[in-house]
Amino acid sequence: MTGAAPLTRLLGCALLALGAAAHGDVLPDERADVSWRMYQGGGITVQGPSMLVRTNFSDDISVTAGFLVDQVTGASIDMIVLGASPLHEVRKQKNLGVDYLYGKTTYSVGIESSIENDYDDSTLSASIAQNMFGDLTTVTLTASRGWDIITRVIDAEGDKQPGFRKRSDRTTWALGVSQILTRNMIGGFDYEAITEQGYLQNPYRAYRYLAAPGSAIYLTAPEIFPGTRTSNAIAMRLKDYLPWRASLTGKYRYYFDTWDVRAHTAELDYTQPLFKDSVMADITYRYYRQNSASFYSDLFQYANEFNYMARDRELASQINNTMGVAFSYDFVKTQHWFVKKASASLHYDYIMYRYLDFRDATQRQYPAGLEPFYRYNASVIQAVLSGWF
Amino acid sequence: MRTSRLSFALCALLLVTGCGRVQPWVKPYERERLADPVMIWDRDAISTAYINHVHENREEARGGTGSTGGGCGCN
Repeated sequence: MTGAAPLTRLLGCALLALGAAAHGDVLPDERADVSWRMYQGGGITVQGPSMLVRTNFSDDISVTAGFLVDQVTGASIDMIVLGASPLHEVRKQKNLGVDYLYGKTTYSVGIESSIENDYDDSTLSASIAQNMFGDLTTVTLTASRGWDIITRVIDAEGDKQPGFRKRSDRTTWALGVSQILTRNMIGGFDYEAITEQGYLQNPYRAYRYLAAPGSAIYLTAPEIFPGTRTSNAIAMRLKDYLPWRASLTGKYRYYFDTWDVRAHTAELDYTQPLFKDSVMADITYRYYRQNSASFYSDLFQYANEFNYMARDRELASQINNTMGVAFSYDFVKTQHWFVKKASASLHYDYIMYRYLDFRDATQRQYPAGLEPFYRYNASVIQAVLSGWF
Repeated sequence: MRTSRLSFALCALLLVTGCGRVQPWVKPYERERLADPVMIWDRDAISTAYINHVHENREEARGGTGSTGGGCGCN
């Protein structure tokens, strides 16, 4: 919470600056997107549809609405280690947003709700975006607040643990700058600070510790997390138009938080039109690396060894590589009834998760603490149908 | 204290530049390539949001991608 006051001052001053000049601008295109997507990896399958619609009610008011459904099935390594039943659950998310354009300033508000059988989240957000310097620069400031309610399902019928109802809340401040740099290049800068407090752990996860000093057997106990976290992300991106009508994008993000996690994300995207511009092809490579949280350990020496103890693999040291390819085909290029343009796209991403200090505890033939490090691969498939009106 | 000074300096810079007239060094008629669809940051917002969600639920780092919101779906 210590960073909130300077950020508030910064936001207040920046709002004054953004209100300094206003001329004319236009709202984003009216469009509708429908997609079906699937994640499969680590014993878990998540699949379902999603939809996002943007429509303009006048020259200065635009409304977006969306929903998605995630059907989650399977059993992750954490559930296998703890002997939990395989998952069959559904997450439903809805969102609604309104943009108001005044001169070169866009004011936006949004609400989002995500509901699962054991996790409810509500988020309110507000942002202001200003085009300036002859439309060379767009500055966006965003503030959002989220409230989560966490419960715990204890059997395959979906019954919940009596009396277990935890809360956490989240405040986000974000500053984004998009900048035209040259006739061929655009750039961007993003900073985002998130503060959270409350119940920040997964109620199903456990840490493991040696049954006795020098033992080859481990026991498990519920994790103990701190009640607060503040995280910061600083990101930069550049996109360059190549001489043969293609583009190359480079992105880098540095992340750090009060749990002592530091992470680097680097991404390279290449976009190329094909077949007389009717198909757009994208190739993506993403590299991600993080170190473990200060209270993380794969195997503690004994129960209650420290004040905070976790074995979440999300908090473990890891190096992940993602390779992606996407093709987008414009099957309506000219006005057809009320549709100006329509396209279909297919996205495939292959993610390789490699943990550096999280061991595969399902390999019981090894003594505790000597199992091989856990690794798995995941596939993400998305099919999207888009129409512009 | 140092953060406050930095915030103040940044605010002052924003105020000055927000009120001033900066001549665009890339004129509107020079932005043909920038308007090409290959130069759009995020052509499929619905797809980008999903892949960001996939990464954020399995890695510790979050933010800096221009999206907000929560939900878990992360077992």
